[in-house]
Amino acid sequence: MTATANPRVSRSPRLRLTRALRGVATPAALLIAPMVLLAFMVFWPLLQQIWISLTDARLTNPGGGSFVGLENFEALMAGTALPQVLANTLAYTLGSTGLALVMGTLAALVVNTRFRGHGFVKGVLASPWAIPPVAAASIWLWMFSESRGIFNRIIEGAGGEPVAWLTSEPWAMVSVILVTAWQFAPLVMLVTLSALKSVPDEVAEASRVDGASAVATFTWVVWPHILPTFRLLGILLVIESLRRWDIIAVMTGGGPVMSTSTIVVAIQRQAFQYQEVGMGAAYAMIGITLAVIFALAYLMVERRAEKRNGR
Amino acid sequence: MAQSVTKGVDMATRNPLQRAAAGTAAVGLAVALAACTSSEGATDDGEGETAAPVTLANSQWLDAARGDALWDSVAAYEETGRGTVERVEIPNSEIETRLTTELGSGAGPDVMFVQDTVFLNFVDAGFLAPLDSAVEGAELNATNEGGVIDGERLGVAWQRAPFGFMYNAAILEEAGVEVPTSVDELIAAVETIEANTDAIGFGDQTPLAGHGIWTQGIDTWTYGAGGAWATEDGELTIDSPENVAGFEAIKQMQDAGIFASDDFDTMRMMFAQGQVAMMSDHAGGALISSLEGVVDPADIGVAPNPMPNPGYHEQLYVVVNQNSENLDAALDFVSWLVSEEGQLSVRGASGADPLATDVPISDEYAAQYPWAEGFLEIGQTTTGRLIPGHEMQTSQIMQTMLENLQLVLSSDVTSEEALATVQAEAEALG
Repeated sequence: MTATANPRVSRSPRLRLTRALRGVATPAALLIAPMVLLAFMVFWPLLQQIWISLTDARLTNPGGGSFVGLENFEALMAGTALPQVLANTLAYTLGSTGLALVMGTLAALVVNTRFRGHGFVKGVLASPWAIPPVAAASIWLWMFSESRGIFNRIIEGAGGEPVAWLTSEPWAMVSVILVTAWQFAPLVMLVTLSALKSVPDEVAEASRVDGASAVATFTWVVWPHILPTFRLLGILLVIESLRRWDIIAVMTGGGPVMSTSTIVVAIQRQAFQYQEVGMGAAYAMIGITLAVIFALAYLMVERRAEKRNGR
Repeated sequence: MAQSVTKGVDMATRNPLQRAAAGTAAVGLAVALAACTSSEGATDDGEGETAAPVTLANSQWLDAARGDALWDSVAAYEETGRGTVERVEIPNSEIETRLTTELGSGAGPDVMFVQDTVFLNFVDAGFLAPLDSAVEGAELNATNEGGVIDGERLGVAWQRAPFGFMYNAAILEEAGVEVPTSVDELIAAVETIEANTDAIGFGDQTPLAGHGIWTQGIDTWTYGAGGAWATEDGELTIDSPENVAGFEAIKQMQDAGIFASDDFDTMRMMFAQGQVAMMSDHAGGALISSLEGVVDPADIGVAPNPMPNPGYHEQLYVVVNQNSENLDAALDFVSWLVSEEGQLSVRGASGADPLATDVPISDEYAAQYPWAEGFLEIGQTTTGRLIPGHEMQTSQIMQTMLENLQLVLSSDVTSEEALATVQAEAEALG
């Protein structure tokens, strides 16, 4: 028997070090690529954005503005537009997210049952998600037309007065929320449907055998199963709503009287229409802060849920 | 032998660095080949070098009905044998942002056709090449005055588009109304037309719609009331009684419910289809109706706006990119454009808009489109959109103006209060 016959005996400190390094190097190498990507695609532009918000840069020379400190933010705080823009943003974001969650969940519950034409109905309900937002907004623009739109035709047919859907408050905001929720709802439906499929049949069946009503079964059996998915959808739609510009731009342009001017509409107007990129970036920083607040709120809720579930 | 083995090694056995280098070389070669073969449209400049076509960027190339005709009128430059041109189409809604960002990065088309507000932004950023040598000898008219900045010519007029009061004479006759000359008459005429015909009386969209057309449309009524946003030396007069009267005229129309709910483009198309009796538009709209619509061009009339004073015009300039690698050819194109030959070519396609020189419309054109003379006449007295002394802030001031006008139309805020707010905000802009 030689010394080399036993591998444990032959393992030298150098070999152990090599193996240890390999154990660290592999995950590090795997992390480097996404970190580099994040640095170039997210952190660097974000730093640029912060810098531009502290300058008086104009669109004609975005990188050439002079440092003005917090002047852009002070101007925003001193003006009357920011409070209205923030209120509009919250109304639009929470309105469209809430409505989409309700519509999408109801649609998911419907298509989760078996009936004749189930596949066709599911396809129809999912289709708004596939329509480009500008095209969707253009279609709804005609439907909301005060003089010739189908909604006012129906209202007038029923003896009512036509509504200025897109040119009066609060109907303009209601209209853009409706269209945005209509676009988001299919995503909610499809994801919620997957969550519903994960509810064990025997648990739901046991609930029904025990005499629970449909509402009670949903509340005590189904809902806890789909709640994490619902929360995730909520934050995704909030972020998506905060970013949504196209539907508002096509339907109302932010009006009337700024009543549908959300933060992205304000950014576009300031940076591209007025060509004040520095001020536009200041608006963008406020938008990013809003998104971060919503994301943190979501993480807190998730953490509490995990603690409650003992995970 | 070892050497031949190295030479014969295939891609699979090369190390990653070698493969990357080989790939880069292949891509570089392909790009070079593509560059060599993409000289379509280029011309020989007579010195053995191939001159690239002059790129011409204009949103009007996309205009329904007249876009192709306008392009053909400038492409006639190629018939001189001096060079070639290439069409760059940019939608109207994007042209300002796209050109600004392209020029800001040192790129962009050689020649651009832009509105006066955009022109001034480009001047401020130093994007434009002087045109003095290119227009030497040309008989430029007064529409070019705004193109000279600090004694240097940086733009020449492409078109001036005065907004007039366009009407369908057949519908007015059917309804038994005359062309209105005041807001009261306009409201009465709309009511009569809508009571007696199937047409929509007035095609101007309500200012409560958030879209941009009314940031200009306000001028029709405030200028029409004798107002101005500033004196010639730049003192702001936004809250003047004349401008208040202009706001009140708009409010009177809003309260009477005569504004349309659909957007400008839709109403323009409906006018062309004989479904709208009257609307504010420029000669381009009349030409589109004549070429594409069902309305007999002889039935299209134009009158001054139903206000005591003249309204406003849009002004488009031709400018040359300072960073153009094709600068000489671009300047040569401009030189041809303002020549008698170029102006005659453009006149045939641009309808009745005043051009850079006083080139008259032909008798044939005037006979075919009776409205043409009317627009030419209106264009003699209209005022531009730029606010003297505050040219760079015009867009921002007019957006604030529109938002405050909307407040007047939808709340208890008075015209005086609204205009005082705009005056204060405009003064704060500096």
